Amino acid sequence: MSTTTPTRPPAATNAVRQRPGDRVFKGVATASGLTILVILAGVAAFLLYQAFPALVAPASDIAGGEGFWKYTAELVFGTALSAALALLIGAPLGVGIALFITHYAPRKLAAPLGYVIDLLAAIPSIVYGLWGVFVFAPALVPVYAWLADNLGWFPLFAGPVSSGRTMLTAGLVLAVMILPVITALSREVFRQTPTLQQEAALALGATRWRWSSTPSSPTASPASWPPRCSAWAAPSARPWPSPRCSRWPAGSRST
Amino acid sequence: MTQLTSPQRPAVGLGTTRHLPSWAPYAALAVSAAFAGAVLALAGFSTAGWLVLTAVVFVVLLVAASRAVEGPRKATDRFVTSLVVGAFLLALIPLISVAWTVISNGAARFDVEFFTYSMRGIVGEGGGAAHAIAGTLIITGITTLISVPVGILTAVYLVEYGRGGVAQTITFLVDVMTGIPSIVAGLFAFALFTLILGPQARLGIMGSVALCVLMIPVVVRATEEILRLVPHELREASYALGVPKWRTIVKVVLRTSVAGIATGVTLAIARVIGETAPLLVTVGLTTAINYNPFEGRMATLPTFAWFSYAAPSLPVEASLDRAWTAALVLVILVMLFNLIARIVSRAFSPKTR
Repeated sequence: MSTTTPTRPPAATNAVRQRPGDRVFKGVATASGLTILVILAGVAAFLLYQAFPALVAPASDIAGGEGFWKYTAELVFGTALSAALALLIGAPLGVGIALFITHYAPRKLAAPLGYVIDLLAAIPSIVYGLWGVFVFAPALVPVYAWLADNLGWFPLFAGPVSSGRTMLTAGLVLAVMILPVITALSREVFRQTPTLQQEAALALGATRWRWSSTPSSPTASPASWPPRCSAWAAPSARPWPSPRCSRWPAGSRST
Repeated sequence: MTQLTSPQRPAVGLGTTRHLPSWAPYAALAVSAAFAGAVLALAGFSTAGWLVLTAVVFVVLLVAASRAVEGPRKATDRFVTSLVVGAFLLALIPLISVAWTVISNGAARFDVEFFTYSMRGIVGEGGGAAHAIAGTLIITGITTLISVPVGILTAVYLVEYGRGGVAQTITFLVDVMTGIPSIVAGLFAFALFTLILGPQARLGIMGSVALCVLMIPVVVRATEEILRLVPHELREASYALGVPKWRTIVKVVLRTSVAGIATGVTLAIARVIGETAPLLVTVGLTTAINYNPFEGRMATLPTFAWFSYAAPSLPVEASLDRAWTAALVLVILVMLFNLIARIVSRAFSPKTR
């Protein structure tokens, strides 16, 4: 009698796990997870497979006649330069807007502003491209002309000015494109700052600048980098805060 | 004793700080605007120059006054406030300009013909984007049909089942996938299908596969985040009632988070609907309506807009007008999806009262 009663429970949990519905559902979920592995392996394999001929081709077969690496180096430089320019301009502005919305704007204005920024983050890149070509580049020509006239001694701004379609314009358009993304992500990060700490800072007589910078930045600083990096990785990126970013400040709440 | 409380005694602490009057920033703005206007009137007036000079003079003036009256601490505060507000106003200019340009240029062809005609046999003016709108909706629809189940189930695996190395690897790979440039996704689909169907293959389904690569990680991320917010007590209560795990997940966990998932999915759709590069390499472009994603090229709004700009037919203005209207329709679609996301999240959220 006594031997059967206490040893049964493990068997009972096993019986729960054996239900067919559970097995099927777990199988389907696992298969979906593994699909991700398959897709990424496929992406990597196909890219390598298709790119391999170019990698091993003799230098004379590549456009320009100087080999694959020389040919791509210029393209890589252009990509990196425009992205760096965009980040240089977009990141401080985006963080500034987020600060304005979370800490400076009147409360009635903050919510609609945040909504509009979220909307702008979802605007397709082709729209920004058309705008850049037809509105922004022509509008920049007089600015470039002025820069060439007045700051021409500085090599970066030397003329002659032909059209507005330069690397700086590309960087500026990219900056405009990543602005809403950076803003949305930084806003999410700033919102995570513990309210109590901020109120404590204000109660101690902190000015608004100290209020918004000191208590929020130790919490926000590890997390305000991923948004910038991911905005760099995909300028037309994600219109909502990536979970990874919003999880960081929670971990550093001990500050 | 009475001397101690005499009113002549200078106050210590907060009382000693002097403040600029509340109208000071406006006065500084007016003064700097007048000053900048006067300077530029001598050197040749331009609106942009006037605005820039006004801003610079305003900041210098206000910070100097604040430093003299209120001390360096308040001056720094005012300086940063002007910078933050300035950044906001500066960033608003291009964003408003984008919105205004698209609306004003797109309105020219925003008519019935644009929505009812394709470009088949149309030379010059007229014509429409019915084929592109149909293509965009079909391709995005198929993408959603594939991505949403895979994405949600992957998130369920990660949150409810996944333990150890496999789950960590998948989480990491979802991160990697989020960063895949859209053109790489397009080239992947192109390479995959041309390997099977020959180098001339251009199908709507190819575009859907390319967009899936972009959309799945986004859905996984949004869903995962929402599922982790579901309180453990709900699951435990369900288990305690003897409900199997899979029914708990479907009826309790997913039901609780359906509003958040719907929002995430809708935003993910808005994200992929405007992709140009992957569709350019996989789907191509046609001038006629093609409802069959498994046969032949299809037109989509982004590629339609792109080609109308890059390879315009004569007269150029008619082509450009079509490009702008296509962009406007795209923006309206995105806003519609955002709106739907809001309504859905309101309608589906579990009633707490």
